[in-house]
Amino acid sequence: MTQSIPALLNEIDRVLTHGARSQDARGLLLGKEGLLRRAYHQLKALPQTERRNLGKALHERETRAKTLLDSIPDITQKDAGAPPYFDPTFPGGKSQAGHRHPVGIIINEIVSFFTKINFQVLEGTEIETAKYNFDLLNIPPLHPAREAHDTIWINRRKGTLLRTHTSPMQIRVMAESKPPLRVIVPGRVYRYEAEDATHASVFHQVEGFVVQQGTTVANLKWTLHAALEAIFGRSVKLRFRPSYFPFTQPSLEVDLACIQCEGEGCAICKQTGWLEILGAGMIHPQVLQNVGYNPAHISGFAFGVGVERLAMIKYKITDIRSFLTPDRFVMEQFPGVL
Amino acid sequence: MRIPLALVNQFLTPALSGEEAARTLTQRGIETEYLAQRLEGVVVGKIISIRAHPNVLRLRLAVVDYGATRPLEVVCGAPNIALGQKVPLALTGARLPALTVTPKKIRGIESEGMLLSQKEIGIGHETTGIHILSPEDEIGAPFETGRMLEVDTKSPRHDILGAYGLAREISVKTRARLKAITNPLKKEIPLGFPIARGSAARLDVLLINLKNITIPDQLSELITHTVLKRVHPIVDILNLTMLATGQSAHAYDADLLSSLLVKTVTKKQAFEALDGQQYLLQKGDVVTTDGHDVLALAGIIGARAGAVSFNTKRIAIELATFAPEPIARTSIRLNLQTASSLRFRRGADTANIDRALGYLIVLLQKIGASIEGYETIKGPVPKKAIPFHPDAINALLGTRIRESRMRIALKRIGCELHGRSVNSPSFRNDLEHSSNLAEEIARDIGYDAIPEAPLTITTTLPQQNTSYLKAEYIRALAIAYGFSEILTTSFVKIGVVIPENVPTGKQALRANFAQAHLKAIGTLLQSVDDPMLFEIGTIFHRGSERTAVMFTTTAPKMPVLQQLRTLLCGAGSPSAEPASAEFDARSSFAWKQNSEKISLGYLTLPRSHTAKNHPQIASLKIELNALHDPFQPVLGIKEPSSYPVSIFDVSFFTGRVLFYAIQAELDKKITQHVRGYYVIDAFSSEKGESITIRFELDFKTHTPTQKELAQTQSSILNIFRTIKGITLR
Repeated sequence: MTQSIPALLNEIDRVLTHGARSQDARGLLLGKEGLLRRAYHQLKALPQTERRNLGKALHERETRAKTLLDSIPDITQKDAGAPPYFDPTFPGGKSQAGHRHPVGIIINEIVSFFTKINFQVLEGTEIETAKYNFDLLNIPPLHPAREAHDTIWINRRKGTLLRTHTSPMQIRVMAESKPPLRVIVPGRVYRYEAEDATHASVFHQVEGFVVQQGTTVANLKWTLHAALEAIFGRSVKLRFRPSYFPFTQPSLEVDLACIQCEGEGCAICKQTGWLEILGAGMIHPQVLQNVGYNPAHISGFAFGVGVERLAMIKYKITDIRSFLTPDRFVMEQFPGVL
Repeated sequence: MRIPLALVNQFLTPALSGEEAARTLTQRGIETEYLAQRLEGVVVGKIISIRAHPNVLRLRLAVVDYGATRPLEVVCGAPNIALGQKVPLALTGARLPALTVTPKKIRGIESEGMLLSQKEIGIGHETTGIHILSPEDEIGAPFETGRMLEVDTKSPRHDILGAYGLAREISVKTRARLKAITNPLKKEIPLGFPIARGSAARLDVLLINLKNITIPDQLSELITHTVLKRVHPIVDILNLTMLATGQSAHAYDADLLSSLLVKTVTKKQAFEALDGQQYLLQKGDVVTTDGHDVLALAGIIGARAGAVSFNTKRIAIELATFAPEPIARTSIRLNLQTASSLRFRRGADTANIDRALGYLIVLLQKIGASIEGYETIKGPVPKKAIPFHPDAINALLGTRIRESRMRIALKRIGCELHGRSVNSPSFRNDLEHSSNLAEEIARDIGYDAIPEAPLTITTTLPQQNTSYLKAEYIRALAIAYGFSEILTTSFVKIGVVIPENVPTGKQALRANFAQAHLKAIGTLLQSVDDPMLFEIGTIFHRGSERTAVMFTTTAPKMPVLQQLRTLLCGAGSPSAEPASAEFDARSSFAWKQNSEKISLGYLTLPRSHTAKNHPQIASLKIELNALHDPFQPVLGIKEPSSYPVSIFDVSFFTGRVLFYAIQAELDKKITQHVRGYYVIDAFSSEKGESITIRFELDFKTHTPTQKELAQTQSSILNIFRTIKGITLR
C-alpha cells in the first residue's frame, strides 16, 4: 500500500525531529527508496494547486534534511581528534569478539552470584598435600573414601598429590582466618580415571563454604537454590536427598529436576526425571576441630559442584572430553559476552 | 556392590519391587540403583486353567492371565505346570535368546504364546520344565532376570554391606516388616581343639560334618543366581551367608586343624594365599593360625594350607569380628581387596554373628550337614553414649522439630534413649556425634521438609581478592580483542613436574601452554583463517605453580596481540617488566615468536592462595566491575548474551552497556500505561561524560491524561535513580 503524501510528510517530520541522528536517517530520508523520493514520485499525479503547496513543503523538508544530515559527523570515517560518538542504532554486525569457554561462563555465573552475597573468591594450589586434601578433611589414611578418590600422586611417600577436589581450601582458609567466613574456590581438580564421555582426569570444581555462628541446613538449602536459579537463569526445582561425605554431617546430595523434560523422564536424565548436580552438607564437627574451632559454638556449610557437569546440563553437551578439545563449531556457540 | 534383590526380599514382608527398594534406600542416603535384564515381549503370567490337548496325550492347554482383558491359551508340553503358578509368558513377537515367538498351530490347536523354561530364557540349562516364578511377582509385569541392587559403598557404614542390613534400612521407611533372625545354638558343644580370639572382638567356630550332604535344587538355584563363582558347597553357602547378612566367614579343613588362633604377626613371613599368589606378611598383620602355619590373612583371604577341598570330611567355620584398622592397613599395603576385606575394614558388629549363624544353620540343615561342635568367645562390647540435645539439633538443621518427633526418628533406627543420652545400636558404630543424630533425624523427616532460610547478610564486605579478578579482567579484554578462550589438559609429554602415576599416554604436568596451543591452532587452522586463542591456567615448575595466560595467534593478527600487550603491560620493549601499576612486579609478559606464522604471548600472574595479605587495587577493581559482568553491578539484569559488541572502546562500551541495560529495565517496568516504547537515539556528549537518551512512548489510550503522563515520567525517572553512578540532569 502506498502512503499518501501528507502521511509521508508526517513520517519525514518525525524522523527530522527525533531520529535524524541515527545512522540510517540519510537513507531513510534521501535514499532511492527514501521518504522524500517516494513523496516526489506521487506528486506528479496530483492537481496543480495541491502539487505546488505540497511540492513547496517537500522542498523545504529536503533542504532541512540535507543541512541536518551534513551537520552530523560521518562515523564511518575515522577522525582521530573527534570525540567518541555513540550510536546505539548502529547495526551490530558480525561479532568480532572472541569466544568464551563454557566452563568459564559457568564459573563466572557462580562467582557473580556468590560475590553478590559477600563471598570471597580464592584459588588455592593444584598441587596439594595429603594432609589438606585428605587427613584434615576427616579422610584418614585407612578411610575407604580415600581410595574412591583415585588420586594422582606427585610423590606418595612425601604425600604430595594433585588435588582431587577443591575442598582443601576449606582447611587452609579456616586454619588461618577467623569466622565469619564466606568463600568460594573455583579451580581445576584431578582424578586418576579412565576417560570416557562422562569421566575426565582433569576437570573443574567450585567449592563454597560458610562458617558463621548459627548457620543451618536451611541456610544451605536457600543458598544452593538461589545459586542454581542464578546459574540456569530460570526457576529450578530441586530435591535434597541424604548422602555421605566424610567432611560433612549431615551430608546431602542435590538433584535438579531435569531441565529438558521437567521431571517427565528423558534421555538426558536417564528416564529418572532428576539430574544429580552437587554434593553439600554441614561441615563435620571433626573438621571444625581439626582447624581449632569449637563445633559447639560455630557451624558452617560447604558444597562442591562440578563445573563441567553443570555446563553439560545447561548447554546439552554430551561428551566431557570436548571441553579440553578446541573445536571451531563448539566455540562458535559461545560468543564473547561483553 | 551388588546384592541380589531376592536376598533382600527374603527378610521383608511384603516383598518390594526392585524400583521401590532402590528408591527407598536412596532416600535413606544409600545410593542404590536397580539393575535387571528384561526380555522383550516376555511378561509374568498366571495359569488360571489347564485342560488336556484333544489330539496329543503328552501336551496340555494352559489358559494364562497376563493382565490383559482376554487371557491367552498356550499349548505346553512341560510336566511341571500347575494351576495358580506364575510363569514367564512369551507373547507373539517376543525375542528370546534363541528364537522369536510366532503364533503356531501345534497338532491342530493354535498356541497364542509360549511358556518358557530356564534354558529358553537364557538363565540356566533346565529344559524339561517351565521356569516357575515367585508368587509375589506381579501379573503382567515385564519378566526380569538378574535382579540386583547396585549399592554405592562410599559410606563407611558396614551394616549396609549385606541384604539384611539393606532390608532393615528399607523397613525403617516402608510398610514392609523385617524378619528377625536369631542364633539357634544356645549351648556350646566342645570343638575338641583350642581356639583364641586374639585382637578380634568375637570369635565363633562351628564344626560340621559333611557326611551325606546333598544340595536341594531350590538352594542350588539360589546359589547359582546369587554367588558369582561356585567353589565348594560349603564355601558357596558361606558366600551366600555373607551376601545375605554382611558377615564374612571362613572355612577350614577341620581334620588338618590342631587349633585355631587369631594372632598378630610379629616378624616378616611369606604367605601363600588361595588366589595362588605369594604375599609377604609384616609385623602388625592379623592372621589365623594353628600355632605353626598361617591359615588365613584375617578378614582378607585364606591360605592354601588348611583350605577345604572336595575330599574334606569335616569343616570348621570361623565367624569373627576383626578390628578394622589392621585389615584396612594390610589390604591397602598388599593391594588385596576382597569381598571380605571390603566389609571388615569398615568395622563389624559382634551381634551380627548371631544373625549370620541363624541364617547359616538353616542352610546347613537344608543340605543335611550335621553340627558337631560350636564354641564362642566374646570380648567386652564398649557402649558409646552420644549426647542428645534437641535444641542443638534444631539449631544445626534450622528447624523446629519437637523432641518427641526426634525420639521417634532415633528409635526407628534402633537407638536406645536414656534421658539426654543416646546409645546407638550395635550395627551403627558409625554414629558418634550430635550431628550424626541430626543427620538421622533429618533423614527421617526428609530434607525436603526442612525450610529454606536466607543467609543473614553480613555488613562487612570481605576484602576481595584481586588475582581472580585480574584474570577476569584479562579474559574480558582478550575476548573483546577477538581472542577465544580455550582450555587444554594439564598433562603433556614434556614437563618438569612428573607425577608418580598418571593416566596412560600423559607423563608430565605442563610447564607452559606451548605444546597444547600449537596443536590447537594447527587443528583450528583447518577451518578458521586466523585463529586467535588464549588460555588462563596453571603451569607447573619444580616447587612452584603459577597462573599463566597464553595468547596464541597467527602472523596477520600479530598487531592485535601487540596492542593487547601494550594495554596489559604498558609500552616498552617486549621483554620489559610491566609498567602499569595494575600488575605487580611478579607479573611478566614474555614474548615469543614461535615461527613465521604463529606468535605466542605469555603472561604470568601472582596467585592468591589465602584469604589474607591481598591489598586491593582500587582502580583495577572499579574497571573490573564495569567489565567483568557489565549488567550485574548496574542493574542486576541477567540478560547479557544477546548483544554483540563490534567495537571496543571503554566509553563506547559503557554507553552501550547502559543503553541495553536501560532498555531491558524499561521492558520490565513500563507496563501500566504504556503499550510500547521506542528508543529513538542515545548518544554520548562530546567529552563522553553524559549520555542523552530519547524515547518515544506509545500509550495505551491515544490521549494520555496529564496524570498518566506524570506517573509514567516519574516511573522512568525512578528507573534511572536506581542506577548507581548516574546523575540525572
